[in-house]
Order: sequence, then structure tokens, then C-alpha cells
Amino acid sequence: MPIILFLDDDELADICPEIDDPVESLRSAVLSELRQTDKPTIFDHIDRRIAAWRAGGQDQPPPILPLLAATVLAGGRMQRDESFTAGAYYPRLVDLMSPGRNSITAHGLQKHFDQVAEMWQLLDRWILAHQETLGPSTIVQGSYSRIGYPLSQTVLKVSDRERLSDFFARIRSDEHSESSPQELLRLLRMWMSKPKGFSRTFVEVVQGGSGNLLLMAVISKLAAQERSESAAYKRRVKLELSMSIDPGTWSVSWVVPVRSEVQRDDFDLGGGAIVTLATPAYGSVYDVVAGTLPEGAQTIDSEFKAVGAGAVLSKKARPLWVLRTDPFSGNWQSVALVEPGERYLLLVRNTADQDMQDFLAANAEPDYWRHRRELFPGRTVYENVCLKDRSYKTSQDNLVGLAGLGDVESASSPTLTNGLPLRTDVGGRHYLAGGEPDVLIPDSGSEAFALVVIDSKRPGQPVRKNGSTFPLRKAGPFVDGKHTVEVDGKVLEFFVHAIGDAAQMPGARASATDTENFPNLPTEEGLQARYALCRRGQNAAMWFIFPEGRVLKVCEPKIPRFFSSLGVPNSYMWKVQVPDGASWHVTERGGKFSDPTRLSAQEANFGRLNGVAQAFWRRVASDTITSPDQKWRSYLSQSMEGSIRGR
Amino acid sequence: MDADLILRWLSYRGGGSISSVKKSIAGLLDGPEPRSMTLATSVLSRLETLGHIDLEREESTWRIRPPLVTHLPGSMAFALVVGERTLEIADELDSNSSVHIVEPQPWGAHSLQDPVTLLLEYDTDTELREIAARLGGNFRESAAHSLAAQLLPIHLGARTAGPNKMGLEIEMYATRTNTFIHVESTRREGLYRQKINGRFQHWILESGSWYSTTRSEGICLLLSEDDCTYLRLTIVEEGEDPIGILEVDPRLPLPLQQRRALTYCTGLHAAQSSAGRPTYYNVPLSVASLLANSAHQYLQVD
Repeated sequence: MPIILFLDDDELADICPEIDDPVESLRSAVLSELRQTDKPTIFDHIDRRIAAWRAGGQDQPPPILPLLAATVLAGGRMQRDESFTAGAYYPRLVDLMSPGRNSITAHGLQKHFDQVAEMWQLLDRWILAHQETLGPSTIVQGSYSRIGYPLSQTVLKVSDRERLSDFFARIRSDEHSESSPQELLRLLRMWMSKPKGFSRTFVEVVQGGSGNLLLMAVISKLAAQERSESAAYKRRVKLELSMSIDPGTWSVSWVVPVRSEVQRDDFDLGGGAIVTLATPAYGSVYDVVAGTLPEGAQTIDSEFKAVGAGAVLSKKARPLWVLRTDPFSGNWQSVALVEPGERYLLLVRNTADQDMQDFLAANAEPDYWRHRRELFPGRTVYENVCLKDRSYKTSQDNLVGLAGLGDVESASSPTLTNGLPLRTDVGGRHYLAGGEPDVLIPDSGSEAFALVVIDSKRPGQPVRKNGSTFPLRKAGPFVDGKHTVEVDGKVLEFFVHAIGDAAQMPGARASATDTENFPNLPTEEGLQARYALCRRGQNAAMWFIFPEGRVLKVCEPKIPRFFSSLGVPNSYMWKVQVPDGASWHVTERGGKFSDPTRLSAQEANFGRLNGVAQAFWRRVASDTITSPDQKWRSYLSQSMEGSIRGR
Repeated sequence: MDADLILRWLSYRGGGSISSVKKSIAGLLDGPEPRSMTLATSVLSRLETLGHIDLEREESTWRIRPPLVTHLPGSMAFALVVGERTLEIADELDSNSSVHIVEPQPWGAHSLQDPVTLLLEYDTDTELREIAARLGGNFRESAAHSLAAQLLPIHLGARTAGPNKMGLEIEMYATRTNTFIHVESTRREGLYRQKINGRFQHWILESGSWYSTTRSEGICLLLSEDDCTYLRLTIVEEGEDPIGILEVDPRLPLPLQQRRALTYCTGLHAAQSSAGRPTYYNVPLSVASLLANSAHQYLQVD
């Protein structure tokens, strides 16, 4: 845990409950170590103590803690100010360190605060040297020259620091490369939109203004510490065993769904037993090429773990198993995701059977059945279960595994539904601008109306309480940021973003794409066609030249009429695929030739030329004779030799 | 329904469960839920055909495809941009390239629309490569040709147990009526289907064995034994690889990769001809021929 030297009046009172005036006690203790002067010698006593400390083992902290604590206390007294400025800090320091009317020492402290800054640096270096036992330092200067040091300790309390660990864990800061302080602060503000147990002071500092530079520096440093402290061990791929039940015999076995990161691996089951799994030729589960996986109904409630070189195989005991028919094998196979409208087999512990009956009675299509015979020890089996696709009530929280079914909320209060929700690393409801959610107004069973008030703009829109939805997007456009909608006194909050990854850590979006279940589809790679381009108009044509002096002319084609009927505009360029074997390409517009473009390095080797080629070479020579390309000039000279010799 | 907003949202989501995005899209459509869910399925399917997303229906997952910049076939010097389309990508194209926006025709009984088609004007291939790099995507000279060249002949899938005779009703494809009809027995060879876990599974019974297949591939295999012409290409631009308009008989449901190769020819979905035939424009003869071969069909060229 990082070291924080936080101190304010409340904290001091908590630390020293037995002292009537702990602030006075601290002031006296510090003043007794300072000379009564405003000269640089004010710190003479402390300097001698520091020298003695330096000469010793330095096991203890430098003898400056009371003085530094006093500077932090002064900083804590300006927390309520809008700005952290020297103009706000020093008067409080002087006020704190002035007993009665004698303020010469306090002014000396202010005047020579650069020496205090050096003491902060000394403490920082000492903490760094003892980091392994103490924890990292949180002392930062920020963008302030001297007062930043004590102020960095007033930004957050120890309890705030602990809460921040939750935030860093939530945004998985250890998995992402370094983010800017502004990005961290933006995400932190979103995360703190709901109470998270931070001190009021910290909340005010975070939410206030355009960004406290010192706060950002401290948070950035803490985030960096989180990244470096996280274990950088190589993570094995986690493979979960999936239950497989033969519908004919009700025998239980275990299979392992394929993950693309693992092609083959040997798993140590303990006691020398190894099971080898390999990707199958087809199908969605691994082939067992050596050894055996557990099987039998007695394995349902046992835990299992086996470690391979690149993966870990595991199975946990679950109160509820949900299975659906696997189209490849025809067996029931357990699934992680339960979707309304599909048919499932449920294995529930006998102790939760009554809860399950209540749940299914309220939330499932009525054509399921419950097996009376105990097919598996300790388990009741429900077959052909199909859950309805709407909001429903659950009876108890122990229906683990059904949590992924959607909105598990009370059907009697307004809720947000639909919309285009965005991924978030900081919790809360975030939507893409234009895809704001709907408000579901519960059915009151009467003709009553509810008022939908958006962002406190009254009187609001009356909506009948009949289970309908009010589409918030039609009340837009919404600006980026937090919004509220109030219905019958209940306030729902949501965020709107034009940029869809605004609520994610930078770079998080790339990792959100799960490609492991996608087979190798044909890609667009392979064909390497080359095209030559030319501007349209002025009787444009493209000429392709071959090493033997032959030429091919391609005139500008008409634009196919269907393009305009499709709404496609006319392109100002046209293209043609370069023929195989062509070594040069020249465009002609208005009777003028462009500079030649080389397509290959083939040498000229002219043969007999037809009339078209002869005419071409005569014309192109006059426009391109000054070309600096030696190879082109060799083509021209061969064409001229040919014309002299009558080829 | 704003199809460009949907594509932008999917671009930011990156990937996930089909059912959750289907639900969100359905929520934007007016109308009762069963119809809006069906339309949402169509929206996703059309995005898949256009090359913007991939759908893995067995696992019920989807993912956005990275940006792809590719030449349109034929003489028009346009490049097509498909795939991921965040606001940042759209801004990049708008600011640093010459982009044309083509509004597609509405589709379906409810006049929904596909996302706009983005076509780039360019002077050199180097320019296109640089654009693709700035978008974080890929450049391919001719995606339509490449994809067509990789099309394998449609074939029977893996051998399997076939439909569950104790399960829900089994239907067989009747080529005469182009519909699936309920059957009591599965003795005759042909294409069958049965609903399992809310989705139709398809099989072909051949020589006493069951083989897995999909609806479109199964029908293509059945129709390959027919004497009809289901693919007709009308040439409109002569050249080394002539360009034409490809009409597809509506009885022949082309599989995804075949449809995608055709949409890469214009960046647009098939239009409906006056005779109700799916029609693809700007299709090179080479692409149409490869496609016909893969579907075991004869290509009539006019």
C-alpha cells in the first residue's frame, strides 16, 4: 500500500483524542525545532538532526516528519478553496504556525519554503529506498514548484486510496498501457457518479472544475504503481469442462469446448495421470487423444483442475447446470449463456427445487416438465424449459447461472431498457448518442399517467402507465455526458457519448472483440491485380507497351448507365487492369502523351511492328524523347532503329 | 431506423452475443416484438453480406470486421470501404480523402436502409494503402476477385445423426414449390430441416446417410441437378474481363461468401429487378463464372 502523509484537523483529532488541542501541540513541537528568525538559518536545528541521521543507518525516517505534517495540515485547510494556489496556501501556513502575534518564524518558513521542498524530496528518496517494506511513495511535485509536495498529501485520505484500488481493478489498469491523467480522471468521474465511499473532500476535488493538476498527477502515479505491482506472470488459457448428458441413457460425461488459442495440450490430473486434448477435425469440443476425462453422475458436484503447458482445465461445482442440445452430438451440453426463447435442460440442487418451481411458474413457458425420478444424486431435472423474453421477478438470489438472462429487476418500478448500450469499464449505463434508451413505464392496471421528466426540465411528458416504453432518443438530441430521467419520483441516470469508447480505458476496445469462435473464413487476400489509371476526357486512352515493341491501346470506356441509377457519381479517373507482360504504360489525352510509367524492368527486344505500333512509336517519341528514364530511351531508340531498317 | 448509427454502434461494441445486439436493434424498430426481432435478424444478415460484420450463428456470436479498402471491379476508379466505421474512421475519411457517399435503396416491406456505401476517388494504389493504414485496416486490390477465387464448390457437410425423429416436426424441401413441407417419414433422399433450440438445422439424406448442411448450400446442391438456368450475366462493358449485370433466380439462395463477393462489386446489396430477381451490378465475368462453378450452376452469358 502506498504511503500517504495525510493530515487535516479531523484526522489530527482522531489520532490524538487524549489531547485537548492537538493542533497547538503540533505547532509547539515544530516551532521548538525552528529558530525564531526569517533568515535561512531558521532550519539550523533540523539540519543538524538531518546530518546526524545521515551519518547513521537511516533505518528510521528523516527527523522532519512533524514539520512536514504541519505543512500538510496547512494544505488541508485550503481544500474547500476553488484553486490550489500559492496565494491560498501560504497565508494558511503562516496562520497555522503563528502563535499569537509572533509570526516571524512562520514568515521565515514561507520565505525559505524551498528548503522545506528539499525535505520532502529527502523523505521521498527515503521511502523509495524502503519501498519493499513500506510501500511506494505518493509524494509528487506536480506542476507546482514547492507547495505541490505538501498538497500532494492532502488530495486523498488512506480510505480514498483504498477505494481507488477498486477503481483501478474495475478498469483493469494493469492490463492496459499507460493512460493519460486526463483519461483516468474522466473515467474516475464517471465511476464516482454513484456513491463509492470516498471522502467528501476527495469527491469535491475530483468532480470540481476542469481538473486539478495535482490530483491528476497523484492518480497517475497510483495507476502506474498498480500496473507495476500486478503480477506479470504468463497467463494460461482457462478451459472449462462442459457437462454432456446422453438423452437416451442419461449418462454424464465431460467435454471441453474448443478455444482457438489452444491446439493441443497435455494436462496433469495428478498421481501421474495425463489427459491429452487436441483440436478436432470438426466439431466444437476437443478430442481426447490420450487418457480420460472424469465421467459419471458422481462427478457433477466435484471440483476438478488439471494444468497443462498453455492452459488450465477446471470445473467448479455449481448449484445449477443449464444444458441445451448440441447439434453435432445430439447430447445435452452445458452452456454459459441462457437465451430466452430457446429450450433447455436444468439440473438444480434438490435444496433449491422449490425456488426453481416458483421461478419457472412465473417466468417460463408452461410446457416444461419436472422429472419425478431422481436421475442424478441430489439433483432435480427440468426438461424443455423455455424462458419468456420479458422482464420478470426472481424469487431468490441463489439461482446462480440465470443472472445472464437480462433485466432482473422489479417489474413495478420504471427502468431503462433497449437503446444502444456501450461497453464500460466504470459501470453505469452508457449509450451511443442517437441510441438513447427507452424508459419502461410499469403497468399500473389503471388509466393513470406518469410524468417523464428529462434532466429536471419540468413539467415533463405525460405517459400512460400501461407497461409501454417512452423512447428517450426522440426527446434528443442529447449532449455528451450524464443525464437523468425522473418518473414518479424515481430518478434514473445514464450517460450519452458521441464517441463509443468514452467509458472504456484507451485500447480496451481492441480487446473486446472475441474472435475465438470464428472459423477461418475466406479472406480478401490472394489476388494481386494491378491497375493503371487515367483522367477522363479529351479522348483519353491508355497504351501498354511490351518488350517486343508491341502496343495495346485501351480507350476510355463509357460509364455504365447502371451506376447513375444506383446513385454512384461519375469518377474523374478510369482504370484498366494491367495486361500480363506489359513493361510500360503511357496515357494519352488530347493527342498528348504523358511521361511513361515503368511496369517492369524488362529490356527492349523489338521484333516486327505492325502499323499501329509503328504509328504509336513515331508519335510518342516526339512527346517523350526528353524522358530521363534510360530504359525508356532504350525502347525509343529501338523503335527508331526499327523504323530506319523498315521493321 | 438509422443504419449508419447501428453500424457505428457495432463498430464500438466490437463483438459479442448476437441475441443482445438483436434485442437492441429491435428496440429501435417500431412495431410488435416478434416482427421487430425478425427485422433485426435481417439487418444483421445484410450487414454480414456487405462485409461489415461476421456472424457465428452456432455460437450465437458476432464481431466487427476491420476496415477494408478495395478497388471496385471494372473501369470506374473507385475504391470501396467496408467494415468498422467508428466516428473517428468516418472523420478520417472525410478529412483526408475524397469520399463519395452513396445512399442505398430502401429494402423490405418497412423501407429499412443499409448503411451508406463509401466510395473513394484516388490517383494511385499507394494512396489507397495509406488510407487503409490510417484507418487501421487492410487494402486489397480486388476483394471481389479474391473472394470469388477462393470459393470452394459447395459440398455435403459432415456425416451426422440426422433429425431427431422424437423431436419437433421434420420438414423436407420440395423443389417444385420451393418450400419446406411437413413429412412423416425421412426415407426419401433430399434436404430436410428441423427446429432445434429455436433454430432450424438442415441435413441432406444421400445414399442412406445424413450430412449436415445449411439452407442455402443444401438448396444449391439440390438445384445443381436441375436443368434450369439460375444465373444470367448480361454484359454491359466489353474488355479483357467483361463487366455485366448478374440476375439470380430467387429460387437459388446464394451462400454468404458468394453474396459477399458480389456485393464487393458495388458495395451495395442486390437490387430487385422488375421480375423480382436479385440483381447484382458491375460483376466481372470471371467473378460470375467462379461463383457459378462453386454453386454447381451453369452461367448464361448474354
